[in-house]
Amino acid sequence: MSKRSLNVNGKSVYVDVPDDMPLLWVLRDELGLTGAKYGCGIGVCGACSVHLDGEVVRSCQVPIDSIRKKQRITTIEGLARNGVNHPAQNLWIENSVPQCGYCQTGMIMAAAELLARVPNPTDDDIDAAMTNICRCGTYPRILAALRTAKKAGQAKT
Amino acid sequence: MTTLSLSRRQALVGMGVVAGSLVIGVDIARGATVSGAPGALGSFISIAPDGAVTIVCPGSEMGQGVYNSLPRLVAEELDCDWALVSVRQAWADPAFINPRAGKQRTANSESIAGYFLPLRKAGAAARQMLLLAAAEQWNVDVAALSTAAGVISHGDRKASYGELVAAASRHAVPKDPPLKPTSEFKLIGKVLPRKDLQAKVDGSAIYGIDVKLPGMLVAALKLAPHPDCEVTGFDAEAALAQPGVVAATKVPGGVAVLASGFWRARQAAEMVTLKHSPSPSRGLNDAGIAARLSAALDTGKVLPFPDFDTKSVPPKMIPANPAAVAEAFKSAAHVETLEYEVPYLAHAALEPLCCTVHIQPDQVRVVGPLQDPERSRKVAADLTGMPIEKVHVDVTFIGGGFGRKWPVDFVAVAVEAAKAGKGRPVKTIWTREQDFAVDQFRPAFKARTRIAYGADKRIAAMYSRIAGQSIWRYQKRPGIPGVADPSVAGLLIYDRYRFPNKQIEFAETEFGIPVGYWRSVTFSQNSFFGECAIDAAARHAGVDPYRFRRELLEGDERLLAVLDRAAEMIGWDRPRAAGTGLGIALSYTGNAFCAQAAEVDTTGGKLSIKRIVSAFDCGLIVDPVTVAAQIEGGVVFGLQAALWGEIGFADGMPIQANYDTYRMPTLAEIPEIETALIKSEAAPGGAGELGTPGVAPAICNAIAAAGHAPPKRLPLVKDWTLA
Repeated sequence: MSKRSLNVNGKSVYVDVPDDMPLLWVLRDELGLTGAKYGCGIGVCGACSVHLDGEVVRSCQVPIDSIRKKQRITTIEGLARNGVNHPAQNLWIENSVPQCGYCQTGMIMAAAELLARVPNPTDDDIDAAMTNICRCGTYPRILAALRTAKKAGQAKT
Repeated sequence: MTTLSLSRRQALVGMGVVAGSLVIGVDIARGATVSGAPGALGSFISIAPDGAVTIVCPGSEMGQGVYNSLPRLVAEELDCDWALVSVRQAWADPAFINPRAGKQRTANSESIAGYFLPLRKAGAAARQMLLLAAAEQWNVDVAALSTAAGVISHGDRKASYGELVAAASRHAVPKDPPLKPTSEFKLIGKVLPRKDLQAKVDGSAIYGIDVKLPGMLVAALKLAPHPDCEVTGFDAEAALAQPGVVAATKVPGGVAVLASGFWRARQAAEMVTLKHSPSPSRGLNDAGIAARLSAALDTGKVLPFPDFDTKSVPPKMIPANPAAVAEAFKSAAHVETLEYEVPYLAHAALEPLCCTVHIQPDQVRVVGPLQDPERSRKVAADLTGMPIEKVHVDVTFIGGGFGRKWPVDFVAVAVEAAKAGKGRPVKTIWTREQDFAVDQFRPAFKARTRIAYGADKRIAAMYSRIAGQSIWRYQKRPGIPGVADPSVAGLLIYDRYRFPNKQIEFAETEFGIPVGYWRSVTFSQNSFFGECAIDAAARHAGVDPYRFRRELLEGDERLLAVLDRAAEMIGWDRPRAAGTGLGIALSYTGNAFCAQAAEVDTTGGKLSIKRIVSAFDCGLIVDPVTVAAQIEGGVVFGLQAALWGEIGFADGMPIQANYDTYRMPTLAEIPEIETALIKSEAAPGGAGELGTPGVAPAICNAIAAAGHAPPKRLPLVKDWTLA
């Protein structure tokens, strides 16, 4: 147990939790941020995906004591800016991607990182980045959504 | 009656009904609207003076889209502005019973079919009351008024619904308000903004696992090897010494450890040791299951299953004629015997089982991802001794159901865990591994189909026997005397194929493994068995399997239409490269029809699924985007089962416990998936299930068409290397 300071969605927060508590459960149980979901607990499904300094991580596999004080943690709750959806969130709405929706916050975190790296991703880029599991089977719409991003990206250049 | 007053209060509070609103209640089960005063039974619709409309969605939203499709039925007839509609998920209340089921539950793809008329009537009744109010105020005839997007007009004179609610609520609710003809639909069948999307992309949607109540504790479980094991003792001393741990208590099949958060509870629960009665499935392994299924096919006691006429609703039973079948086999020019097998399958919804229960001296509250709020309420009442009218059940968004959140075993565990909360709410969460371990699996089955061919090489008789566990037995549903479990044997031979002499038998084989309803239930195995057998018959006849089906479906227009469409979409008659193959398969219910075709490439001895197309007719479509999404998602669900899905058993315990071993496809592994929806004005049917069952037989038939031995067992990864 130790008290620590974290930077979550641009705010400093303090928690007092066991060193080995995964970031996922710190977010959900201690900070009340339930957008990151528990799906498998072994880093396979990606429902718990968040950004650590802009890189997507599976938060069920990140012990809280591995996070340095200055590292920026961004969850789905912090993805929108000033109440304006992130482009990935809008792509998801425009393509009516979610069914049950449980995995989609993790999917969107993965997509947001992909679009930050590659604004106009190819199908290969999409395949490589989108490795989360969706039991409802929304993959065709996720692909369609990210292909739209590619078109938009190309139009700009 | 106290039942009603409770639901009224909850309705009004939950809906945030403001003073002066028009509130319409509906008694759906009796198909009538009952009251227009605030506090009405069920309180289905409320219209506030500012024009905001709140509509209760009586079905549970688990990805199949009822949150958007059911309120739309109300809004259509109310003629309100969809943009001003907010949706509230129903609580457990007899007012929300689906008349088709006679129950408040969300299962069997029956939401649209069951609620289609009653919800439209509710909307129409509210509109009628608003019209009466306007007619009175303007001193004109109701017939001279028109409505559009929440505004009533008479010439240039206009009034919004909100302005009229006070006057409207003084009118009696019309019993049989006129409904719009299909041609006047403005919302039904159109693409509209979804009410659940923003919450589902910004993390604010509340699923069962996200429930937070003041003072809440979280419970994690230590489970015995089988959910039906009786816990005879436990040692939780070490667990109770952990920081944040509050209590440990016996629950059905295990022990719950209550703590301030899930992580702490889970760490502590792992320290608990259990004593329990022997597992009902102890010693059981895959080889034993396979051997007993084979023995059951050979010599097991069988129950007959009648042919079903699915053209009638409910489907009519037509008893088989064993004497005629026997005669057909005796005089057959050729007899072919086909054997197939499928394994146990897990639901594997991404949200694990979870449920929150708050037991207070004078009431009990249950909040969770519930496909069956009605039985959840009863279970909570039974286990706490609380009168049922003092039990409130709220339904959250469901993080995937597929049939698993229909049983209420997990609600019972959560209620028992909450008893140790001593007045504090308790949220019980299963780990992923525990969710697999206590699944109620789609049973493993073996089937043996014998086909008698006439001298014309066509089917003279088909005699099919299936062996496996009875779902109804495990679910404690009373069977039909002398008739096999329909959830196992139904449509083992498709009734719509017009060949004579069909005989279905079920050799029940009890293993003590928990089994239950899995998306598409009986079709999940029988479409594979039946549609692969039809391709075998087509090969015997030397007829192209698509055209062979056309022959067998002569005059069956809706099935022929989807079959033709799927064949066209896949390019059935185009030239094909060596090593590739096309396969086609059908599935249907009484009110929905699906044909699916697959293209495979087997070059180099590796299997690659290139495309899967579906043509789907579910009658009148309420929400085309949702219906298409259900079929697409159903295809992925079916693909997972066809390629990888398998739960094996070792010493009576499921071997696969997480997504690392219960293999799911990722985006990169999904073939091209195309879906065509048939335009229809027939009565609306269900869309949640038929995307799944045709996938495996379409792929297997395509593998055979590519020149390989027709697959006889699933998952295909047992016999094929995937490219």
